[in-house]
Formats: sequence, structure tokens, C-alpha cells
Amino acid sequence: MLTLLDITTRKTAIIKDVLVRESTKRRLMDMGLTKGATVLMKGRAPLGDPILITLRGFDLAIRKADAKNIVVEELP
Amino acid sequence: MTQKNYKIALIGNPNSGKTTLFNALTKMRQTVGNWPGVTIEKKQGVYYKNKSVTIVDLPGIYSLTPYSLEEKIARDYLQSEKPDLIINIIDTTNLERNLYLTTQLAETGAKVVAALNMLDELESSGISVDENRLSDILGIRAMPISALKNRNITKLMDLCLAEINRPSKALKIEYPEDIEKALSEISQKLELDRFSAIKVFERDSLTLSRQDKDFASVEKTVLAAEKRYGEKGVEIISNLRYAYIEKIIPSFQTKKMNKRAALSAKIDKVLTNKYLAFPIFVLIIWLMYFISIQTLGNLGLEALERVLELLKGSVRGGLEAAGISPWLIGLVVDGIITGVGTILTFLPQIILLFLFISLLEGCGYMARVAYIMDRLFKKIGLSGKSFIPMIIGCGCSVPAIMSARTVENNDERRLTIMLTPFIPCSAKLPVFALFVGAFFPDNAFVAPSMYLLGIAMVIAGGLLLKKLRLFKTQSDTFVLELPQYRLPQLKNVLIELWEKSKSFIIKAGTIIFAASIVLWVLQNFDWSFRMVEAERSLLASIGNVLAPIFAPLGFGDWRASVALLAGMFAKETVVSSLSILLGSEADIAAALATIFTPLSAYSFMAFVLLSFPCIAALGATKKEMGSTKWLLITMGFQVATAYLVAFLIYNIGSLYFYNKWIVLAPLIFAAASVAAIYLYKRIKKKGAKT
Repeated sequence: MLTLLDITTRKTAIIKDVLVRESTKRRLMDMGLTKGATVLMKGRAPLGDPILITLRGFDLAIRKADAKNIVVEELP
Repeated sequence: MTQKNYKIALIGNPNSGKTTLFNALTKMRQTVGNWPGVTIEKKQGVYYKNKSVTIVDLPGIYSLTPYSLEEKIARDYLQSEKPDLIINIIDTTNLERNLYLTTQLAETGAKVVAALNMLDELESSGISVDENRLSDILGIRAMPISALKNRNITKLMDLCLAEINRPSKALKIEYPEDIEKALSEISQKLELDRFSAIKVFERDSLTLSRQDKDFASVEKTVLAAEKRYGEKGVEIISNLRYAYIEKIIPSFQTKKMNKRAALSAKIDKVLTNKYLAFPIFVLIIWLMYFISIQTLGNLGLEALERVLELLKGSVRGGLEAAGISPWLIGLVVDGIITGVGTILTFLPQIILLFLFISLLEGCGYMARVAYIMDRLFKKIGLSGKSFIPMIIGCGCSVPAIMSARTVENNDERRLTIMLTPFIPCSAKLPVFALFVGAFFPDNAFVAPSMYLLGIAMVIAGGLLLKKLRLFKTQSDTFVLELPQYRLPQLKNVLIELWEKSKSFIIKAGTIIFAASIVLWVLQNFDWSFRMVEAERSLLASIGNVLAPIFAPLGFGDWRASVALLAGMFAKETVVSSLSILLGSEADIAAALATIFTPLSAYSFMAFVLLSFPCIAALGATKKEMGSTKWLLITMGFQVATAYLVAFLIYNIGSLYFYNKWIVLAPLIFAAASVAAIYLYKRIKKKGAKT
């Protein structure tokens, strides 16, 4: 199962499922991290965590602990 | 002729420019910044062109589902106050996500006008939006505006005032057949409108708290749908809503090359670079403090000091010539003018500090700081959300502590409130400036080191509290939008500087004015209220009781203790009281050298930095903590930290620089080691239990 954490920098992926905690999930979904959304991996913070993605045209930082519970499908 | 009063609410995503629009509409001066979450409470003002229109600024929200404090405030307001019209302010450079809220507002059937903001940035963002097409599809009127450049603001309000008397129609998004069936079942059974039916389907807590409906009767319908989709009702709707937006957006938005995003990405490559991020952060902090305290700020200070000396001389001369009694001259010149005037000489430095803070806030760098620091914050059980109070804390601890309200997790909020005052507020700046000027005029690192010490203690203090298991914090998640960089608007910066300078001067004219009188009286009278030498005064006897406590920190003089005590009212009072207490000498730097060494001066600065803030901040702490017990814990923690750090600085420093043990040091070191071992054992034992 591929998660957002497995996506390397400058690669894009499609969100398949968001398996994080209820409250976090709602926040992420309200911001547009819904099933079928396309995200671009922009990289990691200097200390390795959090990660930065581009989602629906804006930049969003989320922690690795959450990213590893977001199931994705990598786009070529 | 009687005119009807209207209420118009501003609603939009965080950082979409609501407060900028609010300021433009009301000519008021609320703080704006380029990061999400600047506004935490609703603010009201009157439209400057038509006093019968009240404008309400609400916190930024992403949706109408209330699960964060901001959303609760906004949703409660909409539901209970029922504004006559909602201006939905939309960051047009970020249309897709902003429309998520817009569609929800349109679905409620309320009167909504969309303000398509950031007109000025559209061109560089390569985006164009056809507002008429958007209006047709969503059934709400729209107006492209630039809140920042004040473009189309009057047109927007004219449109709103025309719309306010027209009937509105709720937007109807076509959901898939099975969902539509469920929704109509809910609305029929419970006799609800479509929007409320959607909210029931989402299991919205506010809707379900209504007593007049039997929600249990539709539970089966919702459950069946949830089972089919394998998701909660609210998530099903969320997915479908975004799918709807994706479908409609191409019919009114065209996108080309986004130059701004590309530029932001380039800047981020440097500022959040793996190796450069932290050195750049330290460099920026260093520049901020070095320039405002030592170079430019100091020039202003020196000029104002000369003015103050002249003023004191001429007032004294004038009063003496007029035959005023000496004690009154003393009170006016050595008390009030010295106390208030000394503080005012620091105005240039304060202005420069605020200039830096407002530039950093306005351009979007602060969000990056939260991004690069999050890893460290996670270690102590805090999230990026806690970082926002700490950014605000550079200005003043009171709004910083209040803004901790947005941290939902109880433990995390308490921890944030306890640690935020370690970030030096602007009131501590004059203290640093005074001591740096007197003891380290040529050292460029002493002043900035205070800020870095503050951050280090936030992390160390947080770690300690975590180890003590005062909090069982499981750090909450961190979800933060990094806005694109934006050039701060000169007007906003100037307004902010003006407001901050004004409140600084007001503080000098009120609290510090009063404190100066009290200090001067206490310094010149004894217990039987006879005028005496300072050494035998009321103040000296109070100070002498406290002095031995501070002796191991290097500043055992009674005047230092009194200054610290006076600092409880406002941190600036540390400076004004020292200037009154040492007032007999003309040169305050020389006078300070009689009771401090460079090392004890540094230790004193560290104590002022870390010990609990002023009374106003303590009041805010009590209010936000909601209990006296937690206020006392907070104060105890902060004073203990300040004492310990100042102690270590002074004692290790003495050993290192002068190669001598302070008389009491071995004893206290022994006590400290015992305490450390005890703490370690306690932590280990608790650790073993969990």
C-alpha cells in the first residue's frame, strides 16, 4: 500500500483514502484533501518533518505521522 | 426619515484578506498579517460611508462544520445573529478551496455576495475569473476587488446594499441519486429545509442539538449511506462538494503560468533549505535585534537622552526659580520626568523592533518559521498551532496568551500559555537595550542572544514539563497552509507602527507615570513618612529583604530587587525604576556599573527575560487557564526557570571568566544536584509505569 510518505519530491499522486484521526481528517478534507485530489510532493522541512505538498493550488504542511496514513496512487 | 440598520458579516478562509477588507470598509485599524489565524474574535465596525451599516469581521474558517473554535464562533454568529447579508471574501488566487466554503454558504439560502479578492495579484498569478459566469452558476452576485489597494470597495458595498432587499435562493448542488434520496427522506420525515437535511446527514452537532426533532427516526437512512460509501456522512458530502467544485470551476476560471507561485517556490528553496533554514533564521533574528537595539535604534536613543537631560535641567531650573519646594521638584524631575522620560527615549528602538516584526509578519516568513520549527515543537508535545502565540508574543504576551485559545487540546493549550512568555516581548526590549548599552556596547551578539535564549528555554522548559508528566501531551497534528510570499503594504506597516507607538506612549503616560511617582515617594520616605536618604527609605527596606534571594544570581543590590519587583507592573518599569534609583548620577551607564558587573548584568537580563511577565499577562494567564491553581503553577514554573538559568549563567560564568567560586555556590550546586537526581528518579519511575 503506497502512502503519501512514499512519494518522492516533485512527483504527483492521487489521494485514495485518508486514514488519519477523525478531527485531523475533517480538517484535511475541508482544505481539499479529499478522495481523488491530486497532490504534488514539494519536499520536507529541514529536520525531516513535516512534509510540504501542493494541493489544489496552495502549499500545505502536514506531519509525517499523518502522511503515512494517507493512501495514494502515484502518477507517472 | 428613519433609516434601517443593516448588519453585514465578513466570512472567508483564513488569510483571504477579511481584516484588510474590514479595515478598508470601517477605516479601523485591526492587525493584519500574512498567515492563517490572525483574527480570533469577532470585531465590529461601521461602514464609513453609511453609518447605518455595521460590519462584522469573523475568524477565518474553511467550512461551516464547527469543530474548531474559530468555526464555532463564525457558525454561532451566523445562526444566532442572522446578519442581513454575508460578504464571502474569496482569495481568488486560491479559488478551488475557497469555493468549498462559498458553496456551503450559498446552500444555506442566506444572502451572500462574493468578494473576489486579490485582484491585484491575479495577473502575476496567471489566473482570470469570469465573475458573471460564477454568479450564474452559484446563484450569488460577485464583485472582483482588491482590499489591499482599495479597488472596487465602494462598488462592492453598493452591490451589497442593492442585494440586501432582494430575495435570495439557496444553491442546490445535485448530489448522486442515492444521496438525494436520503436527503429528501430526511427533510420529509423531519420537515426540514434542504440545508438542514444536509446538516443532519453530516451529523452536525449544532443541528442535532435541536430539541424539536426526532433525529433518531432518520438514523437508519444516514447509516445505510455511510455503510455504502464506507465513510462518515460529513466525509461523503465533503468529497462530493469538492467534486462539484472541480466540475464547475473550468467554466469561469482560466489558469496560466503562475509567476507568483514560481517566485515563492524559489524563495522557499533558500529560506527552508535543509542546511540554510536555521542559519538564516538566526541571522534574521540577529539583524532584528542588532539593528533595533544597537545601531540605528541607538542613534535615536542617544539623541533623545540629550533632549531628556536638557529638559530635566531646564525644568529644575524653572521650578527652582519659581520657588517651588525642593521635595516637589524632586518628585517632578527625579521621579516623573526621569521615570517616564527614560522609557520614552527607547521609543526609536521599539519602533524599529515593531517595523521588523510587522515586515516579517506581512511577508509570510512567520509561517515558514512554524514549518521549520515544527519538528522541535513536536518533541515537547506542541504543534505548529502553538507557534502562532509565540510569534504574537514578540510584540506583547497578552494577545499571545489570548490567541492560545485556538489550540484545541487542553494540555497543549496550557503548555503553550506557560511557555509563550519566554519569547521576549517588546516591553523587555528597553531592559536589554539599557544593559547592552551600558555593558556590551561593542558586542553584537548579546542582545540577539536573549531572543535565542528565549526560544531555547521554550524547548527546554517544554521538555522538562513533559518529563515531569505535568502534561500527558500527545502532540496534536500540524496542518498549516504556507501562504505565498507577499510584499508587505507600506500603509499596513505604517498603521501598525503608529498604533504600537501610540500604545507605548500611552503606557508611559499611565502605568509608568504612576509607578514613577510611587517609586520616588517610597525611595524618599521612611516608615514614619519622614524624608530620608534613599538607603534608609521604605524602598530600601523592602529591597533589602529581597536582595539576599538574588545575591546568588549576581545582583544582590537592593535596587536591583526593587527594579525587578517594579517590573511586575510593566517590564519597562525595570528601566524607569533603575533610572530613578540611580538618578543621582548623570550617566546611567556609569551608575549601573556600580551595582552590576557585565556578567551579573547578563544574568539580570536573563532573569527579566524568563521570569513571569507583567500583571496584565498574569491576568490573561488566569483567564485563559481558567483557574488560580494553574496561574500559580505557571508563575512558579516561570520564576523557577528564570532563577535557575540566571543562577547557572552567573555561577558558571564566574568560574569561567574569573575562575572563582561564588561563596554560596558549592552549597547551592549540591542542592541543585540533589534536586536533579530526584527529578531524574521521578521521571524514570513514572516512565516505567506507563
